[in-house]
Amino acid sequence: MSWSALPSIITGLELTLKLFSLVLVLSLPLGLLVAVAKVYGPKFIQRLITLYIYAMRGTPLLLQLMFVFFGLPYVGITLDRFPAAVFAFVLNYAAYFAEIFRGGMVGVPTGQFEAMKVLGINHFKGYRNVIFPQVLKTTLPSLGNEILALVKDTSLVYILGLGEVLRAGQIAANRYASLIPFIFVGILYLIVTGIISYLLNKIEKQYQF
Amino acid sequence: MLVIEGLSKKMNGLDLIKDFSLTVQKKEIVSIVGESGSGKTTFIRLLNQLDKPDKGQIKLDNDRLFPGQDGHKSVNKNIGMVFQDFQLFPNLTVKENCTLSPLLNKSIRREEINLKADELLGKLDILDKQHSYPKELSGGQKQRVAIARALMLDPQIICLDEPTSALDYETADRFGELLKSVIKNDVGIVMITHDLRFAEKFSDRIISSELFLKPTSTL
Repeated sequence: MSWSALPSIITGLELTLKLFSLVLVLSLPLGLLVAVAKVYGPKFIQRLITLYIYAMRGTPLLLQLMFVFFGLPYVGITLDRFPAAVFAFVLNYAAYFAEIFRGGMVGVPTGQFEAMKVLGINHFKGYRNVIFPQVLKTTLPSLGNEILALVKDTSLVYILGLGEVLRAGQIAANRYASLIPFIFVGILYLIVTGIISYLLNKIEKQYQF
Repeated sequence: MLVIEGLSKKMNGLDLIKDFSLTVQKKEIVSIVGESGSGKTTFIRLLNQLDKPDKGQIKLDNDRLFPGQDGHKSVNKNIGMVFQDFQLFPNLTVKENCTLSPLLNKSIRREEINLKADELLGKLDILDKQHSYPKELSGGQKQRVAIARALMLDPQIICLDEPTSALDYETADRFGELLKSVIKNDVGIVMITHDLRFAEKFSDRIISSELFLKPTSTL
């Protein structure tokens, strides 16, 4: 492989990381909100959320990406490639994160809420100081899996013609008739997921209560 | 003085507590003994308003806690609770467990809250564990933290749910002595237990939960 393919692969990596970070930063809080609404919200909201989560988890992410970018223009909503990708990813990942958070929330013993009540700690402050750290502790391993899956799933945006790292690698492989770009891209993915795993482990260690 | 008048509670259509009245004085330890399922835990949950009475009144001195518009706040402040399984917050250290509620409610200044926690933990002989997490404590130590946490709010009454269920005789007796010292701070204790030996040794009065269903004059 000619090293001249490197810049395009690095540019692809930049887009991958940008998409990953943006989706993570938006979908984690949204997932938490959705989980709170599903556990504590009124019945009709709970039903709507169940439907949303079913739709997001029951159809391929690839289809959702195509729906947002190629489908929505037919009803007059046109998004650029990158915003379309972010939108579809955030909706999809928020649903998965919501289910993980919900599992953590219902796992907190009722007695913890009762202890908060008899101590006169209001729901919001109690959630922030007592409940959420416990939810985070139990859900961190599952969140970690999902976050790593997100890194790899970003490669799906090739369908929208976005030049992320895998697409850049494929173009380089075709151009130079070489296997090396794929290996190089694989190594880049391993480096990124390795760093993220390391950070996740560090965070998990902080929650050893 | 805690005054309970005509307290009633039905569960699944059956009377669990009916027209029950009781007074508990400051510096008094009242034990309620009886079989499992006889409504003992429900009774102290009613005192803390974790469950709502169907009927009756709960008063502390002359303040009516139930029924009342802002009943909840006064109950929280004046009636403390030590759960059977303690329900310490696992993500907080011993000291943080004690200081969280006063800090969030900004009842007094931070330095005073810390001093008060140190003093209470010292009295309960658990100050050396102030930076430990609940999972690092024994059952008896957790119980003392739960008492310290309740005392931080200066309650007039502390309810204890089966306090000796996880303790051996010796530890239970030490705990009984501790309760005797706790009530010196003008606190009354309502304790439910099926440990008759402990109740007889450390209570000023023992009341059978059978009386929950037999309307009597105020006990």
